Amino acid sequence: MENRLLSLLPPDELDRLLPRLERVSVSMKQIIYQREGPIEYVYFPVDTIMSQIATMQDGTVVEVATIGREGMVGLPVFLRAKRTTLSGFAQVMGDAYRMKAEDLLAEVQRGGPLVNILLRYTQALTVQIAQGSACAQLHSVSQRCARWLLMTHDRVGADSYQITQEFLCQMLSVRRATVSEVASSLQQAGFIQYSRGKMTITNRQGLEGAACECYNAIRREYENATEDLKQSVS
Amino acid sequence: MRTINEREFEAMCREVHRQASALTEGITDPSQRTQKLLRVLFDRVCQHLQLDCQAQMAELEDHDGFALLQTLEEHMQPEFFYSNILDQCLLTAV
Repeated sequence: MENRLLSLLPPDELDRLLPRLERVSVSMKQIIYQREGPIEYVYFPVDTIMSQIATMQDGTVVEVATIGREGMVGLPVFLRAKRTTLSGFAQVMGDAYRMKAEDLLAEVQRGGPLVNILLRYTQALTVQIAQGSACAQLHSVSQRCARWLLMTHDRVGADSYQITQEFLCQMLSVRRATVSEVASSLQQAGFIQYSRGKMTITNRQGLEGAACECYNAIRREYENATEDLKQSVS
Repeated sequence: MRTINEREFEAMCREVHRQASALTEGITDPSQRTQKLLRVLFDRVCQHLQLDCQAQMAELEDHDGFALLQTLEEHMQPEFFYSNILDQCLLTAV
């Protein structure tokens, strides 16, 4: 199973859940759930990347969490929230497994391994958001940009991916000129190549050196979560 | 090089939004509905910019709507935040 959370399920549990998991293609820009709207499905990304975003009254959008194959989009359902002020949308096209919200709620009622996995995942995502918040206050745009590129690299699983300047502006909450300047300096350092929206990570180690400590802190949290869950299952 | 401004793109999005039901008739999957509307917008942007849609898609190695965004990046004048306009259109049209 290509989604990390689902892959942590014992085989018999996964077999039991498979009929309720539907593999779907997700389009870039597809709205997964709207703020204050109902959440009909939860998504377990395979190779798509989704964002949780906060939208301000003037339409400004800021990403609060990036979610790929390490996670699930639709945590409010698990936490029994009927609606949320955040929205979820796909930023990179790809596949995901989706499950009806009512089916997930039935699983929560039932208890069992999926609930334990989602509880531990909730903790990891909370750390990701908290670390991201600290990062935004303390670290330079260049460090944050390097962190974001690495996190996306991890989730896409390929050295090249497509990304527009405007999208990076949204993710980093900075002006276009700033993104342009930062991308140019990372390119000059030989860590990335960026042309016509195509981002290629050319020196991952170098990029890791350019990122702030938050990249490793978030990665470690997810690794710890996986370890904890593997131990609890075995 | 021909350009596109915020007002022109906004008008295109409004038009697509108005026609969304007809354009996506018979398509129930939200992913396919999103793709269809992105494609229609891309065609209209290319037409406005007098670009060959197919050639532009091939050049930009289009995957599922990326070409629309990159084309806007390269031809908008003056710069504007096209995502806010596009997201608003898709949010209520899909």
